[in-house]
Amino acid sequence: MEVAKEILDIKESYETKYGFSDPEKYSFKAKKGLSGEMVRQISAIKSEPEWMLDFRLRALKIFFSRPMPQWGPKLEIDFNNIFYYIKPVEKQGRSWDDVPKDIKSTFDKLGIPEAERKFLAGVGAQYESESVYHHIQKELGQQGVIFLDMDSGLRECPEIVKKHFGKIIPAGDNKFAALNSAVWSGGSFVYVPENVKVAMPLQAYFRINAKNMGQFERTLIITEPGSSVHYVEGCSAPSYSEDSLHAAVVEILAKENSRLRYTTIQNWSNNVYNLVTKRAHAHRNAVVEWIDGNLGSKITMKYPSVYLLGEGAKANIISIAYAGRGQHQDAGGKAVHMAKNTSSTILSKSISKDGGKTTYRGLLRVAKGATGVMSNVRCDALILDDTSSSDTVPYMDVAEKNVSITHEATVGKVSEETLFYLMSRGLKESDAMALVVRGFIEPFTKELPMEYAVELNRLVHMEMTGAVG
Amino acid sequence: MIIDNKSLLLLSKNAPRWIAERRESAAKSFFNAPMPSEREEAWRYTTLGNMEIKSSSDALLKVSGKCATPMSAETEKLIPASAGEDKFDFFNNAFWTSGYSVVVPDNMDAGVIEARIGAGITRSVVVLGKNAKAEIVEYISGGSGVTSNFLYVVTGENAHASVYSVSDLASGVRDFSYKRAFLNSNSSVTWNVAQFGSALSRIKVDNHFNGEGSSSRVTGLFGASGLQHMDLTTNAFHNVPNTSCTMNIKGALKDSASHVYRGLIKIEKAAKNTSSYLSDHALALSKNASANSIPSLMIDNNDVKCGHSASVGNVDEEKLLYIMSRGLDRKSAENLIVEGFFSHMIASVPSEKMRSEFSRIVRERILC
Repeated sequence: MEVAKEILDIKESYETKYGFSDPEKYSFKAKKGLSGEMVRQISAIKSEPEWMLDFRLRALKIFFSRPMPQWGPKLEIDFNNIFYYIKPVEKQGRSWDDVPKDIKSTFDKLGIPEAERKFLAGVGAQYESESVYHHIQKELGQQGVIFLDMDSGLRECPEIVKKHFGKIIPAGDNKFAALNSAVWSGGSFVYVPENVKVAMPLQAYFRINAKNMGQFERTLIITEPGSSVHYVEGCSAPSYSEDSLHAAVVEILAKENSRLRYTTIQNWSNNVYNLVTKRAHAHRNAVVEWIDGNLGSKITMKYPSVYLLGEGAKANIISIAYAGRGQHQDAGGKAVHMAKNTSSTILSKSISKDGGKTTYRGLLRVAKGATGVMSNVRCDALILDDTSSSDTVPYMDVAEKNVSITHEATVGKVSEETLFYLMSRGLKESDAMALVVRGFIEPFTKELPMEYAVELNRLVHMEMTGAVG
Repeated sequence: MIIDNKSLLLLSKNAPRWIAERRESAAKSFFNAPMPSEREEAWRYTTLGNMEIKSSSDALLKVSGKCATPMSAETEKLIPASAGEDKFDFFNNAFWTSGYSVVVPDNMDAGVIEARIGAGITRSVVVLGKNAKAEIVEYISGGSGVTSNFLYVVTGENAHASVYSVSDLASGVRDFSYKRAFLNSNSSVTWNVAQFGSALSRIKVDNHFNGEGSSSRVTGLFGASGLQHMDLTTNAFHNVPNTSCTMNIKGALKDSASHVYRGLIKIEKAAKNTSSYLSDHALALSKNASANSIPSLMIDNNDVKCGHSASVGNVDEEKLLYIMSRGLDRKSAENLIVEGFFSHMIASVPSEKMRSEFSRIVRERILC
């Protein structure tokens, strides 16, 4: 298995593709560290309504009172050595020409404006704590679709935001949700009116540039009855030796018969702690899909969840995780069935290599009264060398009889026989390995918009063959 | 027996000093350790709350077979220390009143050893020499208060042990029984564990694979009804290369019974070429029954074949309808399906006598 060491180094080209940094020219940079004063300052800069400041201060108290999680990967975060708020520019751009040159060239390198021209219905770009660019196609705007950064959402749609903000994930949900609630800035606000179907994806891209940065974006998506939308988020950061922190909160409300797909391609540099709370409420016959790809970060703890609250609601969670040197991906999914005839599938695929560690952690809960529930959970782990490891920790909690629940998991390496077979057909070992790995993550890539799938496959393949050639 | 220091003194009377000291220090740890709470991972879904451990029934023991003797200070020494002990390890260690020991010399087949235990606080050990063999059948029944019936199995090179351990406890009992095997090279242990009866029962079966080429098969059956809560844990600790383990757990739940199954496969870095599987399937027979399942894997090297599967479901309406169309009433049809659910497991039990014992308990406890 010597060759395994040389292949699938998705991260190897990170340095040149994503790991660059810009000089810091900011319009405002809050002092390091966390305090009530700092929270008031953020709120004042944003000229927020009183209730939001109260919400933040309450959350800060909760954050201070809670211990660090007693489970999962070990988190060594110095909360005093983090910038909680950096405002990069005075004003958000409506076109890319309004965005400062340095920042625009960063997003150019990341391919965002190009993707927008080609296949996106709207794009939001966040740099440090604030959104620097936001745009949605005119026709969608005319149909009443709202796609704003969260701060603008709070200003322009105060009623809707006040009604739903912090309701699906309250500040007290967990320590990091509390932290986000106290210092949140940026993120997306998406509102899709009744029966409007957004055909092309909306994308948000989150970029950290400064050292010791903490990014705390906050996203709220509401799909009215009968509507549908696909939201895509991507993220990256420069590679620094100091750690950064990303603690986002994403709340989704999918009303009757609506359909929402949320795709994440998480590609933080290996110095970012990525501790994210994502939860969706799915009402009658709604379909919520989390397509969650975790490639980057130092430690990720993220378990996108769906609460199936209305009869016939469906949840579909597909998650892949890749952990290379120094990385621990602690990811998974949760489905909580609270209503009759709801169904869920969770598919997790993880790959660990070069001493990396992947953990699948999941929950499947069926509440009393939720009859006719169907659920299938499957997790497969591929360990590519003998320095890497993988854990699987699924929880099943079933309080109802008329249900059908199945769970399966496998862990192993690429079988010698499979490799041998492919090589007997004339493939080099590295090509054979690349093929097997691509096949392994195919259930994920096939759900991505084509352009991303091609990019991901190209990345995997280039690294493998490049290393051998 | 009342669980206090006075009973401890009585137990230590006339015993060798070292064993008295051990009891004393275990008792101290027991009294000092807080009651495990649901916040601890190992106790999630099992609520002890403010449970008081006041008294236990006096164990009754009848053991027959080659190489079998009542537990003595000398044979108690053969029990290996185990890591990760909890309050109930201390409890058992301090207050055990009896138990049995089976010490089989090298190259000997001891045949069937039968232990009938009236539940209490017991501590038993089976030690097999090189190439030795034994079939242990323990049947634990009755009891009152808090009981704890531990069993340790230590296998020498190339030794083979089969253990049938059936708990069929009286209805008010709260039982905490841990079973542990320590396996040497090329040895094997087959566990057949059945969990029935009691108000609250926690059974844990651990396999420590310490010798290359060792293997184990664990078959677990459970059945709970009424307001019973059961907690079954099976762990496989693969510490060396070339070991294998298969764990199959099946059970049925009636009325308002609840069950938590916890299974862990832990493969250390050094344990190359491990093959380990776990499957657990629960059948919920009533609306109010609840089943929790936590099958975990912790894998630290890649040269392994490993997996688990789990399911929770109810009796398939179509199957019921089919059987009923053959002239059976609903109840009998359901019973037939439940018997079928268990039959695969029961059929794998090699001893005829134990098979009929298992079937009888399933009939009495689960069918009606």
